[in-house]
Amino acid sequence: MDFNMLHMKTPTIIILFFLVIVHSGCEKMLDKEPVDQLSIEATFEDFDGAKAALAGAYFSLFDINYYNGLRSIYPDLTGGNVKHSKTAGIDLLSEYSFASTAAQSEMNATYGALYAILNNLNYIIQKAPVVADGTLAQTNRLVAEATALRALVHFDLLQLYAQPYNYTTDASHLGIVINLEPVFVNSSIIKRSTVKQGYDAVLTDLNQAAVLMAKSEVVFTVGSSSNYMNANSINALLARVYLNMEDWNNAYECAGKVIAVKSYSLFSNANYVSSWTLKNTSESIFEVSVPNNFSGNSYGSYFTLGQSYLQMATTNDLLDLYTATDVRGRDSFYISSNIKGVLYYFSKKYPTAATAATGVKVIRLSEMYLVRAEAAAELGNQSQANADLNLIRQRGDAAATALNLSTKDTLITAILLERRKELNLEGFLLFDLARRKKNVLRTDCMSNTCNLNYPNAHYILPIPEQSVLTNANMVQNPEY
Amino acid sequence: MRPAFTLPFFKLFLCSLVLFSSLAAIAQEKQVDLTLRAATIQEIFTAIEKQSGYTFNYNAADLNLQTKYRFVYKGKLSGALTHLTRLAGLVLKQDGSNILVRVLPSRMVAGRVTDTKGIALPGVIVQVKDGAHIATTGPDGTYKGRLIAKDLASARFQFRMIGMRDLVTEPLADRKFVNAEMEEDITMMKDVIITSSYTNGKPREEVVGSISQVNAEQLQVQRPIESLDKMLEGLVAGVYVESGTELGKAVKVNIRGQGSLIPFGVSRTTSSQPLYVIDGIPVQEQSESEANTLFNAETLLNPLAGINPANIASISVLKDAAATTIYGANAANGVIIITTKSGVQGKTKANLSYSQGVSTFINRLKLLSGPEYYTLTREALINDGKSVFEAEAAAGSKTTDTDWLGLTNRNATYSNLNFDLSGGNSGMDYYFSAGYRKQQASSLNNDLKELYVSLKVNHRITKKLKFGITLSPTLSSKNGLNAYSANTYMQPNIDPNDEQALATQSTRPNPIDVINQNEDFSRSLTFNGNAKLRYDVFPALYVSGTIGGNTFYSKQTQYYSAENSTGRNLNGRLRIFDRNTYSWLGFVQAGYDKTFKEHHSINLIAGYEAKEENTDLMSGTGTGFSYDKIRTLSQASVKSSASSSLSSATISYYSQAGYDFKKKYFLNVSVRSDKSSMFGGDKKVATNSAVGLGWVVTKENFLQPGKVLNYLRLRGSFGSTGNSRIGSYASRGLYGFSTNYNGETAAIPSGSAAPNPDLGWEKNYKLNFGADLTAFNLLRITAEIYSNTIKNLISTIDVPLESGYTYVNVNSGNMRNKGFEFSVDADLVKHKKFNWTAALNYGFNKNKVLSLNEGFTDNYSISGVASALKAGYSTTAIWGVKWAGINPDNGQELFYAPDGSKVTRSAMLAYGTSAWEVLGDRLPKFQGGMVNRFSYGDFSLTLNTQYSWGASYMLRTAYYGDGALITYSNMSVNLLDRWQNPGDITEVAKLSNLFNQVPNSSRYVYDMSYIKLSNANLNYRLPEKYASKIGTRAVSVFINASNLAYWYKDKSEAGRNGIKELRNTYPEARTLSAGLNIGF
Repeated sequence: MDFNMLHMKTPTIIILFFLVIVHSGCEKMLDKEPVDQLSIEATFEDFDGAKAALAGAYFSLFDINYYNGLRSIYPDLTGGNVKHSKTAGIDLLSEYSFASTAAQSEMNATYGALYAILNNLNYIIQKAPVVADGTLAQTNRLVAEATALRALVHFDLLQLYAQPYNYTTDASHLGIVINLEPVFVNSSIIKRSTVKQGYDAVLTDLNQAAVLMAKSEVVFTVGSSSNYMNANSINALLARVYLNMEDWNNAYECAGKVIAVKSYSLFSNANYVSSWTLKNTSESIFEVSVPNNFSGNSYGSYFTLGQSYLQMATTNDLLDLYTATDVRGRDSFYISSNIKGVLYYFSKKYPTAATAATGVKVIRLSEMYLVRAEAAAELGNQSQANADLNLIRQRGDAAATALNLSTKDTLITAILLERRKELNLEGFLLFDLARRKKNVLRTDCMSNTCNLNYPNAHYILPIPEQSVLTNANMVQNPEY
Repeated sequence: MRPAFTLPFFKLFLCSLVLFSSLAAIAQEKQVDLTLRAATIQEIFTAIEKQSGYTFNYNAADLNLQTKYRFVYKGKLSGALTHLTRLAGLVLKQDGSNILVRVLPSRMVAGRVTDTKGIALPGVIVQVKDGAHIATTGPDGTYKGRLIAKDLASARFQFRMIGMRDLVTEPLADRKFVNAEMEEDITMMKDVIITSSYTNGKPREEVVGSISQVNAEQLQVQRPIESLDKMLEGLVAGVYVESGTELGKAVKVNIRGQGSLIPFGVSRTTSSQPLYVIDGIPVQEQSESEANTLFNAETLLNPLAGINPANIASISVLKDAAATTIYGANAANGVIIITTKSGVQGKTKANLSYSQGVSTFINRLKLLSGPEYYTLTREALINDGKSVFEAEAAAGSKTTDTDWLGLTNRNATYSNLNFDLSGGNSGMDYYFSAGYRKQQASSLNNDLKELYVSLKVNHRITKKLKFGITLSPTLSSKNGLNAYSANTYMQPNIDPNDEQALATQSTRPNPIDVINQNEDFSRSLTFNGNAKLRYDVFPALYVSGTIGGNTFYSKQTQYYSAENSTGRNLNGRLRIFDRNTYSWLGFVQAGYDKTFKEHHSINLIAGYEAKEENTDLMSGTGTGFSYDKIRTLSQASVKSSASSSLSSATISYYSQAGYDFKKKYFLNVSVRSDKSSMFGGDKKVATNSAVGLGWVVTKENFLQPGKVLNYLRLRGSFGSTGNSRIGSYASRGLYGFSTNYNGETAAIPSGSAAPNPDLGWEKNYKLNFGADLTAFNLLRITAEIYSNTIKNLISTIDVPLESGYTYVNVNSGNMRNKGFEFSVDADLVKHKKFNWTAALNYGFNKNKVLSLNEGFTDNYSISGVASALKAGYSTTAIWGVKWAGINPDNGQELFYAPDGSKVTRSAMLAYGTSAWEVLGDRLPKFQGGMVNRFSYGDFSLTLNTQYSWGASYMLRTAYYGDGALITYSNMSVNLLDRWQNPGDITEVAKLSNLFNQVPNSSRYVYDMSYIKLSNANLNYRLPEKYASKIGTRAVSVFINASNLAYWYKDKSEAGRNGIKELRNTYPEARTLSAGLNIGF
């Protein structure tokens, strides 16, 4: 072979060689997996994935649209416990005036966030029992906690988007969409059920969760047990649900069970104020934990001084309800601030921020006493009702004399007043007014619509426009 | 099961080409090796016969037996025969092992070629008409050569040169001297156009596709503009640049309208931008929203700012299917090919240029003064029911007047230094350049610095083997701390030194403190490099391999100081984002280019390409700094970090075939098949193809070039392209793992887009007709009409929220862009001293969504851009409600309800989006530009004008509302005209701080039609005789003014803001610069 020919062929061979090498390696190159994400299938391949999904569900409760923000403040703002202290950059301006619309309600984000959590929970409930590893007791636990959370989310949706249980005598009025399995996008099965069906689904989930919980072992060991759903928090949630259903016997019994558990205790009068700087206190039955290294706005940023996003001041309507000696009152539990010439009072609930921020206390022991008191009053057990009521009253105001109310009506009125004083900023007021068929009366209020007479369509929020526009089956709430 | 990706046609074609080339090299042809210094024809014949075994048959009487030739040859027999033919004017014909010899008459001819002004033309090719080459003219324009022809007397000469019209002489008769005077080729059809990065340039005449090319001179790289995408504004018909005023930020370039739907929200990242290819390597488009949300706070730099404008030789804009389909699935929005300068053989040349300039604001936004602000705030609060005392307390100082805009802005400077060196010999050429640019933004402390280096070397290893390499790193640094909108809207009645007022009255940080104490800077390195190897198997066939990389390293550091309210509650906050993008691309291809039987030209390329892009992201956040001056993560008491990465890969086969007959009829076919990792399941492969036809009508007998019509060519093309840039994992149902609960790893379903494994490719079918003509020996006109139909559009459909998702990405729509483009240029005055050249372009585009989201609702966005995707309308339409003015009785806004009645704000809001109608269109009906260039002696003046007609602009209403944000922000001076008393006729409602705005009101939609004198450049070139006296080759000086003047159709009221002031976030700046170029 002569040199000339070799010389001519070589580059061709190099290029041909390159082609073969490149080509053979390339097909494989096309299989790309994201690094910080996993497919749904891969996530639920094993126990750890399913566990991470459940941790994700807990994390989602801390969403700014849920307990760490809108869901918690909305009932207090609309009910009259708080008012806006600023005029710009504030949340829930139209909700404050009962003027939100389906197109623009800020609470639409809450609706979407809650159903996104349900989507995750449904994957866990469907797939956790069939993961490749983990003991039965462990997977039972995952399913139990997810099922209890699903009840919590459905219950919150019912309170926000449907009239109270007693709105009609048989609760046959319009409820919410109940999601018990992952919903595919082109599914046409998305429909609202009745409030009765909604509460039934919540109770079914809670009871199922309780059964599985009994056959399980703990999977999350980090943090406090009150950061996770457990047998006690299921009972506490049942008590709250039964109270809304006016099922006094069950409410009484469930609240009693939680109170009877030795692991919870009330803070003393002296420690009450400072207890709000602590995480996972002895009063917390279910507390949504703050993620590690959390540095964003926590729920307390709404009303705690020194925070950039300070915007919800306590109304005089509420402040005037406290006696001068009540630790929960104006002098001991509030910080005043002059904003543009006006003096505002901000609560010391959740006073710590950023990495020191505490979790959001979703269910607290004092609520259980007040639930039992209310159920007892309804059931005619006045001594128990007075005892539970006085326990909370006198814990707040050591100087208060013990009440001994003898009629159901006076008892109920006193208990509701105490609920307002004790549980303000914890997301109850509007719902309490609604289930008790009370009017919204706001005196310290700056809005065109300060008051609502029960019944009124605006006790509940509109279904977001997107859900109505994209689904022919969807029925909007009246007057929206 | 995934079907295998087999493309038998391509593989076969490729293999056969490669195989063929190898075979040809070892073909059975006889080799000869002769060295005859002085031999007669007969002696040469004998020598060849000995070596080859062939026999020459001839009549000795016909041959000139006396003349002795020098004959040195080594190679194939056929080559030797060709050589012999030329040498002695013989016709040789092979018949078995016999070679028949006939003698042709020949004659030595000579002459001189000049242009019409009598100036000698070197390098003119002299040939027999459509036949053999005779000679090439030397530096003095003369030539000498032997003409060999069957019939010498009837032979015609043809003279050819780029830039000049072909000249064909009368029959030679008995002449021995043929002089020629060539005319300039006014059609410019011989200009070389870069048609793709896979092929070399082609004469414009042979290009069937729709391609507009802009060279460095037209681009006017002396302008103080940092990136080439901004420079394209107004230069190319059909290219609309939505330019912004923020430094270093990418702009939107729309070629023939928008080729894909813009995404709503952040879940999808479908690109509607063209593909940029620099010297064969695509630039990776950066998309922030694709990455994990942890990285959303990062600000991205425009990757195109990494290219030194001074290095650009030409930019080709590929528009239709015939031009773009070779880029297949990336070409839906057009392709922009950037070719950088190469070295030129010859003496080493160096150029040094420097320019410096200063910018001042134009069309500055007018805001309320301190006292005005006080008055209006007080009034708004009183209107809202506050007591006078409360209102006055809340409104702040009555007298303080702070000009925050003035305090946070400046007259910015600009400077640019460039050096380049080029040269080479027949075996090698090189081009080296280095540049430094420093450009300040008007916002104090914001600037952009670039250091560019580039080296390009081409080396001919052997006659057939060529090697080329390009390396161009660019270092950039950008400061972007000073946020214009946050700072200039600060309340004007707060004294910047009054800490008390700042703390209590303002929710914003003190801008002066932010500028002085915080940090926000990015540093990046862009590295483009490629290497090419090309081997010419034989003159018609080559194989080549190219490998290139595009790397982008960037690091952004943000520090929020504890000294001011941005970082006070966290005791200082540091965020660092580290982004590394690596992409590589390799392609091997074979090309074949040959003319058969004089009239049939064929060119073919076929290739295989593999491409991979990887982006690695890392970020670190720290808070709790005990000492504000040491700003490293190690000093932070609380730290967190994150990492993520994205990757995608594509492999492709491509082929293009061209054929022409007599350079009169042209055919071009391209096919490309792409397989991408971006799509799910079976949808990975997309094949696109296109066909184009061209016809030079003036080469027909029935339409010979005349005085009116000098040249006419018609073109047409049809084909498809796709869009693969939809984001890396757009089709997947995923769980994201970027968070924790109590420190336990937490996973949540990712994003708000539901999974859709059926997501597939968009197809963009492009139909184009064009005509190129030259008339009156003056006007060069190109006119094109096109219709691009996009099928299987990827769009986002809202889903019921109960699914847990907000939307899903589906292939659900069809859309069409139709339009017309026109460009004309002419040398209006051509005189020895005075010349005037003008170029005008016009582009008209109309977009319509044909169908969308079957079975689902149309899609609206309630954001400031007010977009809607709705069948029957343009995708860039602005939607909203019609404003009906202010009710003179109570000062409240009124709107037109769908039934035509005037209703109040709350009544209008109740209608929701169902009442929305089209208020305008974000993109113009037509737009274009005009460049006039005058030269007089050594002076030249270039004026750039741009126009845009029919585009609307929807204002971000926040600072222009009726007091909604007034306690928080300064407002437009237009609020001074607010309603105050019953009977007031005004356009501004009664002020209210509780005012809940109606979004997307026609009140905030402005007509953006304008004409602007965007640039003027005056250049003076020192006459050569003086330049050489100071030891230089060429010297020129220039002054340049950008953004000289605007004429808006929608005029601003005196003393008030209109579109002119409101259009840009950052106010526009007029930059005056002056510079010097020296060539050595």
